[in-house]
Amino acid sequence: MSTPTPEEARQALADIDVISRQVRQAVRGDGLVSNILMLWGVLWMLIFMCGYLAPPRAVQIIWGLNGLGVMATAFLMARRGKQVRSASGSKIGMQLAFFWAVVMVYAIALPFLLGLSSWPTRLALMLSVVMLGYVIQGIWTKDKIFIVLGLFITAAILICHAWLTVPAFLLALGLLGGGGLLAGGLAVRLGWR
Amino acid sequence: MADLNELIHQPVRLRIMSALASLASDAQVDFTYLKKLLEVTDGNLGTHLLKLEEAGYLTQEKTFVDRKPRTYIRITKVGRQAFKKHVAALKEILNGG
Repeated sequence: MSTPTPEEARQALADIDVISRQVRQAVRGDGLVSNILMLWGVLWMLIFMCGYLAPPRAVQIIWGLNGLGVMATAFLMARRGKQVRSASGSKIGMQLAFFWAVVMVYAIALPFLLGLSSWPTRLALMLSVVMLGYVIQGIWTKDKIFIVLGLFITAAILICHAWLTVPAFLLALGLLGGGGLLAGGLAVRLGWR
Repeated sequence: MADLNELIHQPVRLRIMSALASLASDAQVDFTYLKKLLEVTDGNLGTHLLKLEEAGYLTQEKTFVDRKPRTYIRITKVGRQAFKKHVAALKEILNGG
């Protein structure tokens, strides 16, 4: 083998950098995170549009869409788990799954245990707990996109709940909450995380 | 001057080793996923992986996941060291060593 020229060495090192960066992004799950955020962004928009446009049927539709979202999220995560596997990765995956199960139990149970009579207030508390989950995950996994989304959407929920009428509150949740998640997913896809 | 590794220096094998060396020491990558990442064919990737495996630079584990056959590839300690030395040699050439 003839010794590479400095230019050939530079090119080889550049190729190494490109591949290493792509693998690190893939292992970190940028594609997966982006897909999940965009999925929930669309679902939030649909859920709150249903609440705004068809209140009598809203509850069934909301539970149906939430169930669909949970199944789709589980499918995406399971599929990724087959591409790169490691004992340490599996452990973190299990910890995150348990964490989110606990967050969802708190989100659903807390508003009822507190005896909140107003359903918009129960909804605001439920969604705020979920967004707190985003912030905690972001701090845990050192992932600023989750921290930013969690804080932004929590602020939107609280401000809209305090200032808007119920129909406008639902519309705002769909646009700001769903739009925020969708934008977050796109930002991750474009390399910001 | 550090020695270049002739086996690793081949372009596809260099990219294979770059990909594997970027993973944690306990991580394994799926063959199909690696093929898509490197944009090579099954046969091409298989041939290069075999050469690297024969040199002791990586291991291939064939298993079943959800009843479908899958091959997982992991870099070995020897492979990681060889890749590190090769990268050092390239940097020496670049810096005029």
